[in-house]
This record gives sequence, C-alpha cells and structure tokens, in this order.
Amino acid sequence: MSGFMGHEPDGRPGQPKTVKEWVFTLDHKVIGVWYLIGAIASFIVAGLAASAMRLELGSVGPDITDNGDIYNLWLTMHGAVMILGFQIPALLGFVANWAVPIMVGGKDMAFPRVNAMSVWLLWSGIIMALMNLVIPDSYNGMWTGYPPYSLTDAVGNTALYSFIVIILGMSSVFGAVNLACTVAFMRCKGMGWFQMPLTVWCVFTANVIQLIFVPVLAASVLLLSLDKYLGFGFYNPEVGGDVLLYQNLFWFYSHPAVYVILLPFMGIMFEIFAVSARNDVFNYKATVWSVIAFIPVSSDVWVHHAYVAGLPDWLRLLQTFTTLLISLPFGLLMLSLTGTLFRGTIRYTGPMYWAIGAFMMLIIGALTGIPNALSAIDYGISDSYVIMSHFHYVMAVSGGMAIFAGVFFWFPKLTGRLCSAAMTKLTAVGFFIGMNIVMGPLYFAGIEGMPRRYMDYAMFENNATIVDAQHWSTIGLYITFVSALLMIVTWLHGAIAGEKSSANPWGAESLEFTATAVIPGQGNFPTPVIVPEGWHPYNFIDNPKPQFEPHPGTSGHH
Amino acid sequence: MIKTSSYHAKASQCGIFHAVVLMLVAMFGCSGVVFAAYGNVTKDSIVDPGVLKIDEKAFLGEKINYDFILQDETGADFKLGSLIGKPLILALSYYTCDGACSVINKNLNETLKGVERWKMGQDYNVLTVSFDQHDTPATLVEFMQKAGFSDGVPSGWTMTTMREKEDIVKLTGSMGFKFFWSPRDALFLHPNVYIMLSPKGRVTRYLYGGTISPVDMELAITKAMGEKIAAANVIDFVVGACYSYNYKDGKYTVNIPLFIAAGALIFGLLLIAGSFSYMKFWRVKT
Repeated sequence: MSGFMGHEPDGRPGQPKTVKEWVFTLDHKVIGVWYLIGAIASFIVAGLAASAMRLELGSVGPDITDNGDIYNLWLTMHGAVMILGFQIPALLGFVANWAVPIMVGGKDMAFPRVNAMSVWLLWSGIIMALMNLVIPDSYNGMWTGYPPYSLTDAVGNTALYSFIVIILGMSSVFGAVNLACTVAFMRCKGMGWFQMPLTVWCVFTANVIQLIFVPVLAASVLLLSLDKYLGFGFYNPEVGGDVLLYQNLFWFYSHPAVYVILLPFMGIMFEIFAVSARNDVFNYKATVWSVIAFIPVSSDVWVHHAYVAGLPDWLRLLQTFTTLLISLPFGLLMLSLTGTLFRGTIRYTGPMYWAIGAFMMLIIGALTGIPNALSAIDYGISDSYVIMSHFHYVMAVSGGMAIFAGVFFWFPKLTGRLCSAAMTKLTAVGFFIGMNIVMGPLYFAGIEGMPRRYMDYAMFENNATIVDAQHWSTIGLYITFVSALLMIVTWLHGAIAGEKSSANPWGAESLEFTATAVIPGQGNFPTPVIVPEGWHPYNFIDNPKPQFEPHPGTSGHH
Repeated sequence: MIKTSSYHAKASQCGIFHAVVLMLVAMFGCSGVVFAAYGNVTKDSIVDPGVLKIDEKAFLGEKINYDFILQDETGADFKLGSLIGKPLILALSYYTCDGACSVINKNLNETLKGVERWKMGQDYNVLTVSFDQHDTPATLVEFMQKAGFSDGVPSGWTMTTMREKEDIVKLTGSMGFKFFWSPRDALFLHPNVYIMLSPKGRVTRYLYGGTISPVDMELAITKAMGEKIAAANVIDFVVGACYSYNYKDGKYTVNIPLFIAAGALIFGLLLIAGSFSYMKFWRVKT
C-alpha cells in the first residue's frame, strides 16, 4: 500500500504511517478502505461457507458433513455475512465513504468522528459474527432470525444475533446520517443536485432508505431476545405472541434492504458504463427520479414475503401490484444503462468486463423476478430454489460483480497502480461463467420442487433434473472459486507491483479523477473545488474544467 | 387418556382432579363418560377431551362447505350461502341441550349488544345451526324460549336446523368441529365455540368459552371483514392490524412490537430531520 494517500503539492498530511494513525484516522478515504477490508474479509468468510454448502450438496447423502447444525451454521454465516458484512459495507461503507465525498467535491464527510465510530462498529459486528464460528452455542437461525425457531435452545445464541444486528444497524444509521448530510451540504461550489454523479444519487437514496427502515429492524430483533431470555412473549404464540408479526417487521426493513444494495451497485455500473462508452447517461434526470422513486415504492413491497402466510386475496393482489410497480423505476434504470451504451464508443476495460457481467446477471435475475411477484405463481415456488436463484442473480451475484467492478474502477485512486487488465478480464469472465453454472441449473431444480435450505435431497434421488442441477452447480463452484481467488491475487499483485497509474486512467469526468492527484491526499483537493456552469460528470465532449478557489493565505496556485 | 372405571374413583378422591373434571365440563358443555359413535368422532369406552379439540392449523383460512339447505323455526328453507357475503358468526348447538347451548347463545346475544362499530344484519350475520339430526323446527322453537329469544332472534340472526341430516357432518367437518353423542348421559359432547367466517366463507377465528368480550368480538368481526376491503373500512383494517389473537389467553391483545417499530421508524425520520437541521441552521452558518 506504499504511497497510498500520497502527498499533495502543498505538503498537507498524507498517508497514515503508524498503526495508531490508521486506527484513529478521521480521513474518509482511510475509513473507506477500512470498510473495504472488512467487506472483502467478510466476502471470503461467507464465500467459504457457501463453498462448504455447495460441496455438501454435490451429491445425495452426506458429503462433507452429516451434521444439520453445522450445515445451518454455514447457511447462517453465508447469508448474514454476505449481506450485512460484505455487500452493505462495501456499498454504503467503501463506496459511500471513499468515493462520494470526493465525487461531490467535498473535503471530507460531514461528521468525521461519527464516521470513524461507524466503521469501528462495523468491525465489532464482523468480529462478533466470526466468533459465531467458534463459540459452543453458535447461532444457526439464518439471517432472518424467524421465531419460533429463534426462540428455542436449538437455534443457539440468539442474543449474539440480536446484538450483531443492532451493532451493524447503529453503524448503518450513523453512516447514513453522515452520508446524507455530506451530499446535501458538503457539495462543492457550483454543483447542483442534478450535476451529481449517479453513484452519489444512488448511495444517497440507499442511505435515506437505511435511515428510515434500519431502526425498525433493530427494534424487532431486540424484542426477539427479550422474548427468548426474559419471556416477554411478543412473538411466541405459546405465551400469547404473534409469530407472523416478526416476519412482517423483519421484511419491512429487509426487503427495502434489497434496494439499499441494488441502488449503489447500479450506481457503480452507471459510472463505469458512461466512462467506458464515453456517453452521457441516457435520460439522466429521469434516471435520478427513478432512483428517488425507490424510497416510497420500496416501503410497500415487503408483504410479498408473506404471500403464503394467509393474506386476504385483495392484499395479495395489492402486493402483487406494488411489487410489480417497483419494476417501473427499476426498468427505467435498466433502460438508462442500455441507452448509455447505445451508440457509445465502448472501451472494454477490466472494470467494464465486471460491470457488463453484473448487468447480464441483473437482467436474468430481474426477468425471473417478475413471475415471483405474482402471488398465484409464488404459491407454487415459494421457498424453493427458484427464489434462491432469483435473488442470487438479481442481488447477490450481480451486486458482487458490480462491487468488484467498482473496486477495479477506483483501484488506481486507492493504490496509484493498475491491476493487470488481462487478469481483470479473465477473472470477470471466469466469475460470470462460474456463477451462471452455479445458479442457472438451480432454477430448474426449483421448478421441480427442490426446497431452499435443505442439506440433502435424498427424497429427490430419482429426479434427474434436481440431481444433475446440483451436480453442475457444484462444478460451477470450482470455476467461481478459482476466479475469486485469482481476483484477490490480481488486487494484491496490482497494489504491490502493478503498473503505475495516471490520475485519470479511464478518462472519467467526475471529480475524483479530474480534480485530485493520482492518490487524493487528506482534504481531497489542494484548495476548495468549484465546478463551472455547464459542468456535468458525464459530459465527455466539451466539459469545462473544474476550478479551484485560492487557498486562504496562499497564492492559490494549482 | 382416562379409563372409565378409574375416572370416577379418582374424581371422588381427589379435589384437584375434580376441579379439572369440572373445567372440562365447562369447556365442553357436558360431562360424563361415553360409549358412542356419532358426528365426526368415533369413541368407544375412553374419554379424551383432546379428541374434541379443533385442529386450527388445518382449518383456519379454509373455506367452509356452504352448499346446504337450512330450515328456520317456521320450517322455511333457505340456503346457507345466502348468509355468506358478510362476516358470519356461527354458533353450532343442539336444541335439546340442557347445558351450555342455550347459555352460549344467550351470551352471544349479550356480547353482540356491546359491539358498537358493527351492526348485526347490516355488517355481519349470526347463525345458530343444530348439529343434532333429531332437531326439528319444533325443538328449535322450544330452544329459542330457553335461550331467551321468546320474541324471536334479533334481525340478522338466524336459528336453524339442517334440512338434509346427512349434511350435518359435511358442514361441521368442513370447519373442524367435532362432537359425539353419549348415550349414557343422553347428551352431546362438543366444544363451546363461536366460529367466525369471512365474507367469502373462510374460517377466520375460533372463539372459545362462550363468554367473549364485545371488544374481542368486534375485533374478530373486523378481522373477518378485512377479507373484503372497502374505502369505508380501511381505518378498521389498520386498527385490526394493531391487534393479534392471543392463543394463550383466548382474546385479542395489542401488538406491542408494532408500536415499538413505529417508534423506531419515527426515530429514523427524526434523525434525518435533526441532522439536516443541524447542518443547515447551525454548522453551515458557523
């Protein structure tokens, strides 16, 4: 990581040199890197858990374990850590912290100390989640924590689950307040709301959703522990509680959480598509309004998780409508992404390979989501592999590929070096093919009736579709695993021995590339930045150059 | 499972056991040991009150079979289906019953007098139907006298027998209601339960015990009515969502987590408003 923070010409402080400086930093970029390290570590842990499950499912009967509790632990660690430890921290931690303040021309986040607290809360949560692998009463009740199972002794340590969710929730809420204030009040002179990069819009909107909904989740899981350990009986039917209430409260946050992940990763895709195609984002203003529309529309979608829980017909119809309604803003974003490529002079860079992969996964996932939204069809496929494959395509894998696209995209600004283009592309193709082999066949297994979360499928032993799908899926794991491993090696090699980068290797127009050094220093810009009238982050033809205000007490050279 | 012989011996020796027996008597409206086969339950010489228990998991949300002809106290035929379309409170009774049946109908009448939000006949219907194949319009009239309906039942309430006796088992079976005849005691054993049906004829709630508070009855009607939403009862639907049925206490209780969650939601919104106000009115200026 040599030269990570660099020095600006005016000699302002640069890279933290000691452990103490790293730990007690208030610099949003260093905090962003802490988020990224935490997210990648979580990805590795959750990825290994997924690999273990897939190996177990490779054939009928026990393969690597016959212990259902162990399998449930892997399942819990995979889902919870991928979502709460990898995707949300990578997007609302790394991208929000590292990229957004520079993209809006700010010198830091609005509340740097709160920012530092947020990242260390995240790390506390991640460390506690890892402890779950070694404590004697590991929690194995999935990331959903559904009662009544989560109220039993068999589930393990429900308190740990509640505590981790609350800690991560606090981290998210503090981070969201900070980011929202940064975008609203720390933009540089001249930058209007409709001159912000779409990544900023997407991250901003996702954080507003977090602020509204996360406290509900935190309160709900707190009550879960009160139920289990103090016998309050909020959710336990045996003592007068309502078990479905938890399901509603959980998904009231957790379905909007899908858009908390979706929006920022689509923001990254917009950035990379526009820069790679040298094209203005198609229908920029409509795209921004589509992003904003996710706030109200996402608030009335959660009930589709309870289609099979005995809802009145009119409510199922209404929720089918509101679920399909989210296709409108989402469809506009997809059109906009496609339109951005249309008639562009596309350069197939490494990050673009990853972004295209994410886009294609997103298309498959979104199209297979439409039937799921229809309550009549959902009756037949609820809790089957169809649902699992759908959300892996639409959120998990496309989101993961977009996050990695973003890491490759901003990598030169983090390290001052470039990753190997060939390896970046090779790993993108490998990951894409691998994940399609992992998840594609499982759709067919789901249609045949294979339920989610089962550690074995002996009851489907004679169903060739299911057995073959599981077999192929496990073969896909090997390809994905090697690709992911090579991707990490590519990062490490790039950071240590990669070719030195220029300040703007991709020819972008946004401020993190055009108005900072190769590696932005503390304060980001040598002097406060001003964007001239007519400046736009996606004007690749005749964009006026950003200006700089003279630094107080200096000659103001730049 | 209690054997017939030991049942009496233990009941006479043990006060606690006697209390349990009395409780069962109260619950099922009748007492005694039975040797019978009738209704949906076939029993020989053993009493297990559990056999009368309604399997709510299996029947809640299920549509009942309502393609039957009923006869009122005048002997006039009408279709059970004609009462569907509004919430329907169903009281399954038999008219020669000396015990609980007249009491549960009386109590239901008193409870419904306390229900203010919904009007019987206008917003919901009530049906008392006999599960005894020997009941006739004549026994029904006698029963009405016993149950305090000498001047007739209120508008919206119908008391009936089944015209085709073989339909009794079909009707009661479609909602999980079990009963059987005890020749020794010359009475039916059956659960004392009001069965709430939705406007589409789905079972939405079983209310046990015969003494239901007007608030609980009103909520049960509201929840049943939620199956067909209309602009006029959107608020009722929201109010209904604030309560859940408490299986332990047999009544509706407030969903406390819902209010805590609403508080958390407001907390999130206040955080946005507070931080923006701080930035706009204090920090940026200073």
